[in-house]
Amino acid sequence: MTRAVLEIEGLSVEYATQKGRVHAVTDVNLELAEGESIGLVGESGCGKTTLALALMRILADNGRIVSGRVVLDGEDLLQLSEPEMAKRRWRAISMVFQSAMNCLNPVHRVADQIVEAIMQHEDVSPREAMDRTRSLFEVVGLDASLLRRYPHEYSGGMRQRAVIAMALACNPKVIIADEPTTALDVLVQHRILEQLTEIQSRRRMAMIYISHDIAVIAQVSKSVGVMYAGRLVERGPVRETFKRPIHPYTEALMDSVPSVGGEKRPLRLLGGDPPDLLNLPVGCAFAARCPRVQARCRSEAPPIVSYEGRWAYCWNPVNQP
Amino acid sequence: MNAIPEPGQVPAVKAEHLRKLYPVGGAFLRAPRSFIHAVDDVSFTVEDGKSLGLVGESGCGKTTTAKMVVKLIEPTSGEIQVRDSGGRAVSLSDLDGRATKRFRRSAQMIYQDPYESLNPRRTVLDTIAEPLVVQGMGTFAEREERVMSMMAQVGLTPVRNYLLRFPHELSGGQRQRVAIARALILAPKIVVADEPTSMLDVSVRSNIIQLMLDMRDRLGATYLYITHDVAVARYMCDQIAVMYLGKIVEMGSTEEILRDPVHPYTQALISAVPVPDPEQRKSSIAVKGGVARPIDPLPRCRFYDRCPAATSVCEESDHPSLSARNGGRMVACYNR
Repeated sequence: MTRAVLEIEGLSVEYATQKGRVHAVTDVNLELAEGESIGLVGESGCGKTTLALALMRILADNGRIVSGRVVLDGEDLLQLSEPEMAKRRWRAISMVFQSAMNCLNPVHRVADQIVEAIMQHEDVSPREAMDRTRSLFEVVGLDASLLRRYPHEYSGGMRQRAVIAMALACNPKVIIADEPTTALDVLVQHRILEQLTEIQSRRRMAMIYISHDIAVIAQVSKSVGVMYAGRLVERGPVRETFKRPIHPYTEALMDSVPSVGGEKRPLRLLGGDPPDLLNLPVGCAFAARCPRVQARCRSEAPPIVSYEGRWAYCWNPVNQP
Repeated sequence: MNAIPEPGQVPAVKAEHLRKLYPVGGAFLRAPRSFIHAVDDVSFTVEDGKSLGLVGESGCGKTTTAKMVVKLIEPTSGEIQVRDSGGRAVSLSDLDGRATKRFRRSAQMIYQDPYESLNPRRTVLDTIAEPLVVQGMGTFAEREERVMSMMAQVGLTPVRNYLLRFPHELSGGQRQRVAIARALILAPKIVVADEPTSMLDVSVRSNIIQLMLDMRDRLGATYLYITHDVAVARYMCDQIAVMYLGKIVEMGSTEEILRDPVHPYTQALISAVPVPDPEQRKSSIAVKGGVARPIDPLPRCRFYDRCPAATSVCEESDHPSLSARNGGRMVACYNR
């Protein structure tokens, strides 16, 4: 029942640049059970997208996985040859990208692109692939009349649905969604998030949902992981993490979201910028911006604080057991 | 500082029966086949020093409305009056070329995407000084001094470090600060902000919201704030006008509308905003379908197709006009 589908162990990723090595992801550990979903939250440049690209093994040319294991169904993806990995992509692990327009080829009909993706990965007849595409359209709430249309004839919301349909095409065990709704209107976003979570739980897929908006994550998943400067600094259930965050960064992130309901509280301002990923500080990466900083935060890496199935790396946690 | 005119009865901005139609179809020397009703009979007033939020989804006409207020586009019909420095109401359609340029000194716009609104080949100094150059204000040294003081006010400090940078050397939040500084350097009376925070990260967003609030308090301008996010509007706006397909469907005090939305569309919009606290989660209100394009709309309520509370009167009668409810609220709905 709670068998882990995906285990990420000590994953670190670097980019080689002219200025030196950028430590985009550092020592990330994460486990996902079948049908479980986790939201990854953090500011731009915290490594959430790099982590996703590393799991798919589609990093840019200057990106390199330095260490770690990504075990999917008992098999370490990082040890596979490229042709072997290509077979896993879309079938075992797939991804919904941020910019839907960039993932659809403008000169081909949307349905044909999905059919092509299916036939690339599975040995099925064109007719079967088309039938499956038709039912995928139904699943994501697209009208069948759109099958024969081109991407430019779609609205932003429809395109995003088509890209989700494509990611689902080969029935993957793990789906990674990288801010798929950021460019969309609230009502459309709401509907797509509802549908996505519904599909995810019905198909018992494991999902990693990436967003900078903690409110969106609260809507799609029960558990949340907070990333800062390439590290996963806190993980726990959304409800407890929201009510009693452990890491000061998590607290700051929560308090900077404008609220519609309840008391109108002043917005929390988080000053400063994330650290330079070329030269990570010795101690805690958040120390320079942290309101609860202590002397040792600047000199020693923070220890793990864990209780009630949640954890964070911090010397001076906001909440303790 | 300019002399502040007597606080009179004249509102800072008054829009009456604004309408903007865009032709579609048609051909050379042939009348267009139909019209998109981008903004259709919209009226509102913003009192001096207050802020009005125009809230709605893409294509509801909020940006078109805002651009008409700063005279970037001309309305098809209807009138916009602004208060001039003498405290008199002036109609924007009466302004000639020279008067328009003078008007631009008092009305500025902040755009959504700081990656597109800044010229990549211009330094921060040149960008922020541009409005002063266009208006022929000050010598180079005076302009530089004003730019530096404005940069300090919007938090681009230490100023010397940023003065000669190009946009690509700035983060998204810093770029938006440059855009805000450029809009505010002329100390405008009217500021139109078109979703200035929607492209930014959450933590940067709260900083920019706070900056806009601070600058409003300091410079005392009248704000028109365009957003699709009611949560942001809550922090920025005294009043909001919820727009749907070119019409205002509900208008009133921001806090009251958020607490007790009356129009079914407003209710759906508010219930769809993601809330981080799982205990505050309300049940969402379902609306059907998506936003249609308002091409030659049928004479019925614009929200009829999607409304969960629609009845036959909504289909048989034309779009309801705004009517006053308790506490100064205006709502356009037959059933609420």
